[in-house]
Amino acid sequence: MTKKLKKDLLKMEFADYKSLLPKKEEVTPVKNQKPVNLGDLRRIQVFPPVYTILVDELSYYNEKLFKGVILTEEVILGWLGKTTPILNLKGHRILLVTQPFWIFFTEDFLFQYSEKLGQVSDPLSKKLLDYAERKEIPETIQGKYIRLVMKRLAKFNVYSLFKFLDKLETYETAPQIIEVSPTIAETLEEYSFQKAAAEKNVFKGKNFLAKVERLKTHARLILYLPQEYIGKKAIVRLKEKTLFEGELQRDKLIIEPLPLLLDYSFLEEELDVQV
Amino acid sequence: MKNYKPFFEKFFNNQLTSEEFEKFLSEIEKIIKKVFRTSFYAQIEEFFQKLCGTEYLRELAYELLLRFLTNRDYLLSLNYINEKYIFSCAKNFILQHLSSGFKSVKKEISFANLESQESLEEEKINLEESLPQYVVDYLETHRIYHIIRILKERLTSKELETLCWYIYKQIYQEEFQLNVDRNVIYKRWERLRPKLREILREDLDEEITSSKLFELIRSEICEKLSYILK
Repeated sequence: MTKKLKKDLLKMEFADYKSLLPKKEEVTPVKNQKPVNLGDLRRIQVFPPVYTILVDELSYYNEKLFKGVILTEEVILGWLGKTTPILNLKGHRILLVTQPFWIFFTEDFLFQYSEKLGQVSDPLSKKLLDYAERKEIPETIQGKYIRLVMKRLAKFNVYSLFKFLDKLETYETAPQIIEVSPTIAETLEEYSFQKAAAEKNVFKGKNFLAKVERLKTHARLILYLPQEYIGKKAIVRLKEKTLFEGELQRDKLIIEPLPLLLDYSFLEEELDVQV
Repeated sequence: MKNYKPFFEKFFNNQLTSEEFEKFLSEIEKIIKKVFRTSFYAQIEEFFQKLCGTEYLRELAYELLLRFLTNRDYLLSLNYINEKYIFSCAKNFILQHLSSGFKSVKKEISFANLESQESLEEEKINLEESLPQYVVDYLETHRIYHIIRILKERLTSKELETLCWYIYKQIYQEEFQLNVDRNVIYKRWERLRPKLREILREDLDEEITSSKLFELIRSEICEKLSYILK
């Protein structure tokens, strides 16, 4: 090993990466648009490029939302050890390293702004998702890099969720409205001082999508459930308390009133829908 | 910084004159050379030299142009292509080469008919199940150097001495010379332990080869310290 390499290359790599980033993130449409499918490897047209492999899809009516594990060309910064999956795109002569997170994309966004480079098998996409879900982001410079990539993509994630929910609105199904007792509001009081990290209003649970709507006096929670749940018996629980138990008449439920809080991120963890 | 986009456009449209092409190629060679100097060990450059002969930079530059060609649509979507970006592509390309086990794609390269060449067909992609050991070593060494850097920044010189004392005793069954009373050093170690755990918490997982970490702490920290102590 040469003496020269004893400098902190990770630090240098991170500085180089930051210096490449444009002041404003822009995404450009692709020339060669191709249908979006599970297992696709796609390059999102941002600079420097970010890659994604579509590992899961959610579909409601004709709208599709894809879950994509993120990959990058920054092998030195993104490699967290021997368990980090690496993909070798021999034809494109690109080496990609899997990042420990995933984000949502609408089908439309992927179709317009990402180029399809290839396809991975089912077992491989499961492996990548497993890594993305399990691997912790370290508190080192590599962690800083990963968080920066997350930040770059966050707006596409939020955009995708909003766009998707907006489209669902246009299907105009009358929701099933569930009024909850005031004790539920008390249960949530402990969250009233919670710091609003991202003021997140849109969530994805295991089997539902949810949106919080803030009204003047209270908030309401709109739940979107898979259509096949209609007619089935369901239990909706929040922090072990049952909000609703009975037959689902619609795939859209409105639960109200809920207290106005700064941040509803806890719902992602605490809300549970069982059918 | 120079914008290479017009060069790429002309290259993809087969509009570079032979002088321009030669100039473009030699600039790419220079960038590859710089990548070797700044980001890889000298041995890696020597490997390529052995594999491809004295013209290794030229050969790699040709292959890098092939990479640009198969990723043409993306490059054309950019407003600006500067040297830094070519540098970053070249680095990834060299790692890709190394991960493919040094198999050079020694195909006859013809740049004569570029416009008619279609972008690459979609690939079936597989996991690189076992990266060659030298790639793992390379990546791991950088992570460890970074950890050592953090240790040097966050530990006081007394704490570093204590760390060396412990590693010499436990790992190498050797003595790290310190003019301090045994009880004092044990106490220092007890105080250092939680701090160390906190610093290394994220990084010192099962993923790092610990023998390599100790070896580098020894050579990068302890040997230098003991030189000063003498």
